[in-house]
Amino acid sequence: MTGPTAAPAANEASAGARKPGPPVIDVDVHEAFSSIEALAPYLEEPWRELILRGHWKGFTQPFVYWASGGGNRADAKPDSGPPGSDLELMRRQLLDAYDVRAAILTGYFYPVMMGDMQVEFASALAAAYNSYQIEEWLSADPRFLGSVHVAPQDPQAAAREIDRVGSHPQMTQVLLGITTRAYGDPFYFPIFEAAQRNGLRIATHHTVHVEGSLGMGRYYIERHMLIPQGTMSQIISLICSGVFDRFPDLKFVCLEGGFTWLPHLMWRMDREYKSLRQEVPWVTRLPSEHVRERLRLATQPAEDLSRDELLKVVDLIGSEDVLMFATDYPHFDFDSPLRSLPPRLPDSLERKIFYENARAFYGLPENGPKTAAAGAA
Amino acid sequence: MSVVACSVEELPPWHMRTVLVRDGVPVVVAHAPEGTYRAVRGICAHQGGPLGEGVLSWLVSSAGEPGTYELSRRAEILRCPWHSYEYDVATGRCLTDPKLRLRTYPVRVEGGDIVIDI
Repeated sequence: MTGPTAAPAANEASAGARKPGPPVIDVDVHEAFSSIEALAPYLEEPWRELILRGHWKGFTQPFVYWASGGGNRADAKPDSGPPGSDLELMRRQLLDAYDVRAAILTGYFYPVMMGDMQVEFASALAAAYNSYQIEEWLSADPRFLGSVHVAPQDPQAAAREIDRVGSHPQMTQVLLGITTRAYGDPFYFPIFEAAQRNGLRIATHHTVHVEGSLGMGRYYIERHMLIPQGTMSQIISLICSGVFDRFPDLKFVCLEGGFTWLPHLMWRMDREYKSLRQEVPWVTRLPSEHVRERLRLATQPAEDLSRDELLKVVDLIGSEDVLMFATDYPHFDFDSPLRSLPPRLPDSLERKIFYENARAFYGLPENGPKTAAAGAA
Repeated sequence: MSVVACSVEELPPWHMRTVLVRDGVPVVVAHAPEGTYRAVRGICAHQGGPLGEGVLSWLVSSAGEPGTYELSRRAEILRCPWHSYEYDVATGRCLTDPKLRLRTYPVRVEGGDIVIDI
């Protein structure tokens, strides 16, 4: 009989039961600040004082979470601060637990959630968050690449912010949070113009305010099932309002909305386009062509497909270049690089999904992210 | 092989504890219902989450009316810290996916210790 053994957190990655898996570019990693006061050093007055006085506590969700750790992995809670706020824990559970060569930081602090009130405050928050991200995350690990956060409800201010930080060498994209706004509206064109002139991509990510076509549903599970509708709605809006045509250098990635619905959406958009193109003559190509060439979808949540099912979906999409792997760390629906996609995929497809498609999309060198060279040998 | 998980005093009712056995494999020992000890492999059969970091909780059911909840079998359901997949610690079975099952291990009390047969 052997004695008891102290048991730290253990899973397949940390227990060494399997190899660390394929090289990964993780396109959706949620860093967080320890508290809203962390933004204070980066805020101008009058906003700084209001935050320090506790006059605004930050965003919260209009529902209760049911998962073991709330909205996050239960094992991702640091000793202090919320999940995603502890760099060392993130390294242990993600960057070093798997073969992560680069991680695209996407935050979870989206000023679009302020709505139409106090747009100056929302824009100030976005700018402060970007400065915080650059100072405290992008500089901390060469594997990190960043997202420019904006308050899209003030497109001119958003464009100025993109010009302010968009040239940072680790910034890759402008992040647009999905609520109930359709970003194809020409009102938002200044944002796309700024992204294009700064060589940035456009990323969409749902917020806790995203809705399905009939609202958020009665239950959290229902609302979580509805999230892809927000992503699909944005793709339809961006294509039909001509954003893909008007900004030919822009590329787009939709995060955390899944991907298995894409064949349907492409077929449906092409069918309608062939009938009703005359209503939107500024759209000059079949929607499916825009999608295959310039839209990418993050795989998370990967929906537990079998190998055959995944190969069928890729075949129906008509391109092996569309899917990019994401973990969504530290959220509760985290996708493990070892277990979320089916085993025994063709080597070339596996390499594309986990690494090559993101490398090409973000314009990173063949041998890996330029800024990650020191940390990902 | 037998492994001492801990003493009975170290595992009060409705709590769980993780021990590492051969080659570092985690085993979760749960004390529920009172006086009964169960042990399951501590790696989620879904995506490999560390079950010992999860939640030992109730079986949540309903008589059928939307909005009504009935709680039973306190601390006999182990929920993964990642995706919240639920496992019955008595059988190792996942409540929502019949393809997923955790290995279970015999547990006994011997001389004031909780002993797992691996």
